[in-house]
Amino acid sequence: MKKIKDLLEMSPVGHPEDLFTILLLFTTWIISSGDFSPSSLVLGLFISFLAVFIMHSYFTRELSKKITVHFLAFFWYLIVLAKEALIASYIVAYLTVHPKLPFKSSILKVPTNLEDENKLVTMTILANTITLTPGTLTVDLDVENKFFYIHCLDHIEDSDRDHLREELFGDLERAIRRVFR
Amino acid sequence: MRRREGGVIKLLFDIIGYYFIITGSILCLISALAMIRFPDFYTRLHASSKTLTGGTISILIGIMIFKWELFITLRLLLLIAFLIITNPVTAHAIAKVAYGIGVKPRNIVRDELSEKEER
Repeated sequence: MKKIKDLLEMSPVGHPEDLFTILLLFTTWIISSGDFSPSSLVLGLFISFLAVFIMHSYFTRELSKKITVHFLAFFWYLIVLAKEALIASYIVAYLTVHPKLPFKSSILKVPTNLEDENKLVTMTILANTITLTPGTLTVDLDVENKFFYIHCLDHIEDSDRDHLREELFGDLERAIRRVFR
Repeated sequence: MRRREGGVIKLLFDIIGYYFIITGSILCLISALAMIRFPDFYTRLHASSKTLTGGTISILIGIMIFKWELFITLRLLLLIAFLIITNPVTAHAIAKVAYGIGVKPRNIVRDELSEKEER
């Protein structure tokens, strides 16, 4: 009897925000199947419900709620990210084919100024975003004091850390703050 | 949304599509070259996370320009989104574990993470 009660507490019914996750999964199903017949739609709804029933957490709830509410801001963030990834790949390709390999790498400690609310979610996303920007790779992060440890492919000599942050990921941080405001 | 058959516009679309596909293939080739040329583990990880993502995105954009239909475009956009989301996650996980088990970066100017480990 107690087991059934535990199962009910785990179920998506307990958290109404899980509906946002189901909505996102269902949209993904429609796009990837490209089929509007009733049987396909019912199957997709069932499968997305099942997936949320099996696996759901604070992270997925918060992320899908913010994505659904601020959809345009998220789309803008994806466009900025794709542009940055293309530029980054060209820069790394140039460094690769250069005959002398003209770079010296370093690991730097960079502060962020994201809001304290949902700090874990935003810091996870920003850390993965930094990996795609030119010449940077997140190695470790300090959640308490909001620091990133970034491996720079080409060392930037700069004593002012706020200026360094602006140079490394100023635009992306602003885009993420717009999604999670 | 369907483009006109023949004419200047088709030629223009073809040229842009070929440009993206060819540069994408070259970027993927360069990322394989970087595995051999770069000096240590972390810089190789840079190449595998960035150049490969950029090259694949470039090829997918090229296909999108060739086949200008609504559902194919949406599906390719979905693919690009998943690629952008998942590739950095693996790179970050590999880098963190490698630092944890003591793979030291070579030829490094400054290492501020080691100060954190000592505390």
